[in-house]
Amino acid sequence: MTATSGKIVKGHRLVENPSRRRVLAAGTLGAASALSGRRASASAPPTSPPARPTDADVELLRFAEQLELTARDLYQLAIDEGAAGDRDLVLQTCRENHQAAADSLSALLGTDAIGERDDALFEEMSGGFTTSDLPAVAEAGYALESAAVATHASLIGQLEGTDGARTIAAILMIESRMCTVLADLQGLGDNDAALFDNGAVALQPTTVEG
Amino acid sequence: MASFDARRLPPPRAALTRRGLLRTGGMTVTFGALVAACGSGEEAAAPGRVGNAPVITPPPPVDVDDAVLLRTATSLEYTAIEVYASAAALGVLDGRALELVERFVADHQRHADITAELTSQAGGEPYECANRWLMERGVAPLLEQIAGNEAEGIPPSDDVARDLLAISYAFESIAGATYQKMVEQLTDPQLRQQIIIIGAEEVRHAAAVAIARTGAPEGYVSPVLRGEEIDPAANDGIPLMYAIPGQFGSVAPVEVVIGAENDAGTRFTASVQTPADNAYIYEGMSCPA
Repeated sequence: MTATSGKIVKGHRLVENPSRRRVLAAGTLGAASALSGRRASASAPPTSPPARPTDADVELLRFAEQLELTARDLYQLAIDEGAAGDRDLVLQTCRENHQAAADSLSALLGTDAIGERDDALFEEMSGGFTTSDLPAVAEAGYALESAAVATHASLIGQLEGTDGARTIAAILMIESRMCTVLADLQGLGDNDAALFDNGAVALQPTTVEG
Repeated sequence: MASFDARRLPPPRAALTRRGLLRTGGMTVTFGALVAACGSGEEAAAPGRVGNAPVITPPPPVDVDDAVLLRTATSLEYTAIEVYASAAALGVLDGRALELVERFVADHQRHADITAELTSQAGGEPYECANRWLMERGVAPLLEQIAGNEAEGIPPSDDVARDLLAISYAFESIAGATYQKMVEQLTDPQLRQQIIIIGAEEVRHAAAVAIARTGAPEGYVSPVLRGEEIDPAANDGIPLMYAIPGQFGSVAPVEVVIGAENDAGTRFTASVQTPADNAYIYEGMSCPA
């Protein structure tokens, strides 16, 4: 297939070596199209998704930010209980990774960021983290991370802007790895279902006040 | 040989006067306008040609749409299956490593079936075979370092199981990275959700390989996250693998160091990356018969 000037291939107009005359002609057509409020071509190229978060995205990203801050505080609770001891680094890493995730979402949201955890979710999940027993905390952390991964995947399916989707995807991927580590940490290193499968249900965003 | 005659140069002052600069600039603009007026629009942008080389045929225009990305994803899954088939054929994996490989193959087949179905839904034709470009340029050189190639002077690996796990870690990490990257490339949010779920499973494979290879708890968290530096000379120059290598999922290349040590004390090193434009499975490409 050879590119031909002006030929429309799958909705994209191909223009080779745009000459001054063509540029002027295109400008005139474009201006005429803009004035008439109609598209120049019936087969317009597919709409690219927006980069920046839309208004609807902002609510979803605020929910994600609160989830990350809640997870951070849950691990801090377990660390304060002594679950990490003086050598375990997994809980500290989980806490710091959730803080980093919240920071990245906050940067994306700007003045729309909340900066606070979801107290109701924290209370709901804190039982599993209020112990110094590391395998027990690993089990609670596994449930938390699995839910976070499922939630983020659900958010990606709803987000319109690519900036938000990209950020959530980067967070989700590391949390997915954390699931496997927390499975191994609770003694399930030979259990393939625990290592690789995620049967968690996505948390649902509620109306976020801010 | 051409000689350089300094006497033919204009006096330096003459070249640097304001009037001279303006005159030179004016010449340039005028000459540019003349060329533009004389040349046709088709030829003006073409570079000058010297000699009798054949006319260059421009490559056909191609679109990277959702179907192309999904076809490429399916080809990656089949590539992984072929890599593991090659690994199993070497007969050195046993115990937990072999169990992991069997699980990974089953998962990759399931992923391939999903991405093929999504390709159809996106209006494309599923591409249900390995990615030839990656197999020839990415996989074959790695496997050669393991099995050896006498004709090329490449000795067999000194630890085949170690190297196979290194390849597995790199491929699983990059498979996950590929899906992560596709989240911002796909236009349909529903497709993004479907493929990130697959990507999340791929990186869990990588995490399990890291724990199996490096051990627990050493293989859980990269020392980099604790602010420590990794000594490249440690562990015989072979990088350790970590289940949690960073704070975010990365789409950066993964380094693979495998094979026997050479006379200089180094090993074969390759960088495994997410597919670029030349590795995509475009519309019109089909599996070899």
